[in-house]
Amino acid sequence: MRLNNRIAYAFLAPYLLIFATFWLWPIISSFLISFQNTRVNPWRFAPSMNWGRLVGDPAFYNALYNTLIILVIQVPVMIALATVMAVFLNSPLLKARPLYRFAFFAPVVVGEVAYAAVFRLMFSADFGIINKIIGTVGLSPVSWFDNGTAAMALVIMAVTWRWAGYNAIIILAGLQSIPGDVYEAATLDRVGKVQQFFHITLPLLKPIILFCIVLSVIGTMQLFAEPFLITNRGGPGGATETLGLLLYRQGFTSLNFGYASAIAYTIAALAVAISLLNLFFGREAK
Amino acid sequence: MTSLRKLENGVLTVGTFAAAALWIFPLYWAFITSMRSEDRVVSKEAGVLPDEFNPAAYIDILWNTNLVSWYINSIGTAVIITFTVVVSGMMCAYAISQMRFPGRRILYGVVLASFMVPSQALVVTQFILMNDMGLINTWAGIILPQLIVPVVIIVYKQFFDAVPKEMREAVVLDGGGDYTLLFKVYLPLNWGITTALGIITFIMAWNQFLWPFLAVTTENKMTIPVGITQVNDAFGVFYARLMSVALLGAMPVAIAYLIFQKKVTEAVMISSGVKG
Repeated sequence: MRLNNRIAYAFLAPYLLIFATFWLWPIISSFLISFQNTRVNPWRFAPSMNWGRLVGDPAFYNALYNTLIILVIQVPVMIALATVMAVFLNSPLLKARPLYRFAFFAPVVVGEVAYAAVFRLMFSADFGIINKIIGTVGLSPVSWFDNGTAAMALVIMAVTWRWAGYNAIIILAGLQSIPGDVYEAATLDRVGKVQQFFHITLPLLKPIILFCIVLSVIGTMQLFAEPFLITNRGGPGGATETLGLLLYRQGFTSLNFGYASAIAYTIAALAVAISLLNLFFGREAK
Repeated sequence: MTSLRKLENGVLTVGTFAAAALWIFPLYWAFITSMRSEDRVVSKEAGVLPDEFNPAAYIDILWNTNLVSWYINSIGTAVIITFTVVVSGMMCAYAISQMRFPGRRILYGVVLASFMVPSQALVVTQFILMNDMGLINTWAGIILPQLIVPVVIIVYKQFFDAVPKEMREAVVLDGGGDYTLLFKVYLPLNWGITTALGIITFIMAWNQFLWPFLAVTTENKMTIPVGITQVNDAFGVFYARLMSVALLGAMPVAIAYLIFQKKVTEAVMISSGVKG
């Protein structure tokens, strides 16, 4: 019995050592740091300093607001798009499926920094191809990086473009696990394709879609690359500053580790809370 | 009935094609921009169709940036991350699934919980820790915090849970221990899962931006995504060059993806079997 335990711990050791040092300890220590004044040397215990600041900081509420806006608009739009993509990719009528799958998945492969550069180029106000196309339709050009609303729309489009294909593949896995005879029976009963989708497919996909939502919530809570790289570090004037970006700015531009830790805890707590809520309501309704 | 089927087919093909074109357009745009001269890129006349095949940008960045060092750093760190994540995750999952020891349930609970915490929430203290350990600007500094990928453990645990008990008993009767079981019996069985998880981990590690961006400040220690941001700084806004670096940087994973497309799709799909 003793020996067995020892072998088990030996198998666990590689992961647990890394996990304890670079996950568990950072979680504990950032909790402690969030109660310290890190702007003096040495750091001093100042229990209400950072949390007190957070509660009254307009920059925090701005970042929270922006993050929630992205969450409320981007996640449903992307999941809906991904579901449609998955249904199309799953159809036996569609030819050249690997080619389409490649197109939809390409953004994940290319990586955020490379495609952020492409987006900056495409959406440039003066010579960007998007404004040229808008111009040929007769509309006036949009200053994507200088107008707060346009910049937010751009971030939402970019994130959707990056992750829709990934989610489509997850949903495709769900579709493929639905037995075909369910649809055959429905077709025999003269139930239309659209009705089949809403009454058979969607309810059966629910757990998978819920999983996609949880992934997206976690991703949005830490959204950093798009507003940092595409809209000029959360610009214009903080219009696209997310919680992830505020954390970066406080931690690595202002080097205020105490305040950044308080923000980090808020991000983690929100992500876990929203994920659990999703899972809870998903289970309830099932 | 047949005309309805034709309509369905038409909607399907046109819809999918239009969406795919939209999705691939940024890549197409990066490519034709990288083949243009810098003046052409910012001119009013530059249209949607390719009009120049000018390799100047590629030649320039190969000579004037640290692209080769970035490649080496990206390949080295991504390979080490992939190997360590898969092996340590598999061993941990094996112990949780197949062995009985005190704290087993709590441990799996912690793994599941860690899946829900955004990794970015940890970067501040991870940075302080790395700084104290003197690992800033080293491969170890880039690698260590990226070794925690709870999904890998969850996927492996589900695989081990599903293996029939008789198999384990047969091996134990033959005198095989846990080492034999995991590496000689179960690993060949789950080779498909292992390669799928390995490839997706490699792609994600290759593209990782925020952490390497924080952990590295000297140019020849950077990975490709961090290096791309330097090209921007060094050249101002020279888009042809920026696009050529971006494309060259994405090339290895793009090729890996094309070769292993089925495996990557499988990896994304099995990770969705994970339930919270």
